[in-house]
Amino acid sequence: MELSRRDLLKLGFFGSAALMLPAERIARTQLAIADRMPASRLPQPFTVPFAVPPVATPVARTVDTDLYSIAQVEAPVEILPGLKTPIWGYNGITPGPTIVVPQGRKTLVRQLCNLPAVHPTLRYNVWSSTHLHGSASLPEYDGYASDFTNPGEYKDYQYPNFQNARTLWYHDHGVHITAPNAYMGLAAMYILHDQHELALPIPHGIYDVPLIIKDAMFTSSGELIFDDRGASGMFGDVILVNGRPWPAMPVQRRKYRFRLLNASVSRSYLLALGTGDPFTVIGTDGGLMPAPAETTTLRFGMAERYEVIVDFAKYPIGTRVVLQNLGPENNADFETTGVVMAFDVAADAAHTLDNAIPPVINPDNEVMRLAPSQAVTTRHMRFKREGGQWTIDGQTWEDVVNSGFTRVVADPKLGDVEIWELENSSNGWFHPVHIHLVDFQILDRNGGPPLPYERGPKDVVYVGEGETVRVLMRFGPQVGRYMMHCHNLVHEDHDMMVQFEVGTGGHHPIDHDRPKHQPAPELHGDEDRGPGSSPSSGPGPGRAPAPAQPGSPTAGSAKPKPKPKRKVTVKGKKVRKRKAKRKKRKSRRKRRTGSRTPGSRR
Amino acid sequence: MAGITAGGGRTSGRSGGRVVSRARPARVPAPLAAALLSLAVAWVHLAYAASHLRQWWAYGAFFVAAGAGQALFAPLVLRRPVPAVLYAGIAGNVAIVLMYVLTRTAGPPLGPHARVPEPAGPIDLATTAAEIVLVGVLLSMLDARARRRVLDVLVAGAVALWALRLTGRLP
Repeated sequence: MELSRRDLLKLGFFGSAALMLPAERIARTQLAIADRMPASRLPQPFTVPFAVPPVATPVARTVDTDLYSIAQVEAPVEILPGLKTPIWGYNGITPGPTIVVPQGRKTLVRQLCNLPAVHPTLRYNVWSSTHLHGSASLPEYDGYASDFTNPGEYKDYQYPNFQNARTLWYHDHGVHITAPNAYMGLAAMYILHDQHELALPIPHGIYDVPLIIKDAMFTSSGELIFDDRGASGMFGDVILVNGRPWPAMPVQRRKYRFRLLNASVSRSYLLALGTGDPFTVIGTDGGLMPAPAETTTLRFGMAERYEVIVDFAKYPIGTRVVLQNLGPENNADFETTGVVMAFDVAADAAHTLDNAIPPVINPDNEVMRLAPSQAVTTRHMRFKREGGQWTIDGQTWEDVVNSGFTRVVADPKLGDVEIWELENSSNGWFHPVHIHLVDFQILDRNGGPPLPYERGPKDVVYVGEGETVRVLMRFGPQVGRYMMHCHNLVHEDHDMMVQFEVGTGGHHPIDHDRPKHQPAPELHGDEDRGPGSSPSSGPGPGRAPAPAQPGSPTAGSAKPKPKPKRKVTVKGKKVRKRKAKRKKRKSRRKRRTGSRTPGSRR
Repeated sequence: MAGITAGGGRTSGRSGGRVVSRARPARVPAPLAAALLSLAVAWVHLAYAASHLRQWWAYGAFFVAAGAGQALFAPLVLRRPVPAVLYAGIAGNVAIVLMYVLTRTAGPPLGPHARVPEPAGPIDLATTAAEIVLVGVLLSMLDARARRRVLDVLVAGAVALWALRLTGRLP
């Protein structure tokens, strides 16, 4: 018996659903790539003015905490001149607003996930998890990948800010979709100041400038194209600095301090000044280096932060200094990715204060004073592609999920000093490895010394092709389970992520404080705010921070610390209920005891 | 299904009220075609079972079950191509195809990749196409009424899938 034409049509209709729906996503990506904006239509480098992301303002303040409310939303923004690009941004901008906080003052950052339920072009189910990269946060506030917040939910992240001054950033960390989420724009800077740093005569204020570098690719209508090249990496042909393509920044003839953050999904950079002049690195991921390091090139992996000082005093007005990208190997380079931005020397220095580079900057950083002899354990971790998967010591995040989030690759005790050897035996790719919670010191690369500008506290290390890098760290100050992963976010999403557990009895990273459904209750500051606790009197950016309380945690401290007390007042249903209950109890007690006052007698 | 017949290699046709004998190219008998297709898709599922087992035991178990079922179906459909076997083959393969659509659109319902859609690739698309052809071959072995009933159900399923997609309920 044969199938009739009608039968074949019916079967074909079923087949169309079975084949075309799955193929649609690939087709969309391929069509978008085919529709990539030609280089000729991209803005000419250095024609777009430079801009700095705005500083976030707290919605309320308590005695010891600044409260922020940030909505993750889709918004059309002008990245390429004349075109609107739909992005996902913290408060609808990318990079999101910078949070600036003095050491010792806590923050509560409410993240409202108001993203669409499904990605408009990649068609994946959306969720988010926010990681404050560089913060020794409690496990439940560390942006644990599987602790995700669905659209319509919110989570109040609490950050202790007891560490030393540093450049941090908050970005998405949602399991399996970190790369597209961050690529859509969910990334922003977070700056922590301390008294020591503010007292140094290095550039501050308007001369302390964030440079958030990221690459992207656009369709001819301005939409972002995400192509992860078969789970290997996402490489764009447009270099954005603070969300602007190849901007030009007017500078004065003096020193500037640039806080460099590589917020790219997969691209590393080899930065150099077009003049060939050296610049000075004064800080790394975990804050200021013990001593400055001069260099002419800077290998810059994803999620790394470097604070560099460039001295424009030697250039005559009218000079253009181009920040170049010499392109480390195993990046997909385009003809447009060789330059990053330009500095246009436009005026003499308006201020000459804080215009120095001291020969010693931060000699007392605890991590940098650790010695290999203090290590109680040496662990070896291999970063490898095997069986079509990105693995760490043969393990993936799937193993962690399948174990009910209990499987760990290391279980150091609180305060233990350990050496980890991170090995990348391949020649086809590099892995910037991020170890959450801790700062570490790079001991060596393939047995040789680390690069001069890496001799500062780090939390991401560039493990290049065929390299084995040894890092030294003290585990703490929190206990619990924390992630370690490759910061090529495409690798991370395809499971190159594991976890370790510090000590015992740490909070569960998912269950301890789960996201809640919106609407969120209002955030309130202290109602009975005393003198000195008003928003305007608190130490703000650029001001001397409040001294840390006695016994308060300091960076790198390995002592077990009590869980930061929550002094935040969140007025909501629960609080109102609690108050009503208390009132009821009180009136009941009153009825029982009569209206007894202390000292009254029956 | 051109080239596949439920009977033998020669068929007769009616032309102008006369029954004429038409020579046609040799055809693969439907049970043999179904068995070969079933073995082919079984091989793919079993070949990929290990990597899915590595992700999660249930993903691997699904692949082993699908592959084993399709492998066992091959001799069964050769030896006993009765309606019950044909229905079982159609139902099993349609279920596998629907699971495939789910994993490539909404993502697997459970496991470490729950709700994360997998990208479709050439091998899995080709395997699904082979399964749809296999369903077609099995349908050709049913009588006309039964075939119509099954095809109506498939059309209803396809309408539902497209409707879910077009209304945004299926990502």
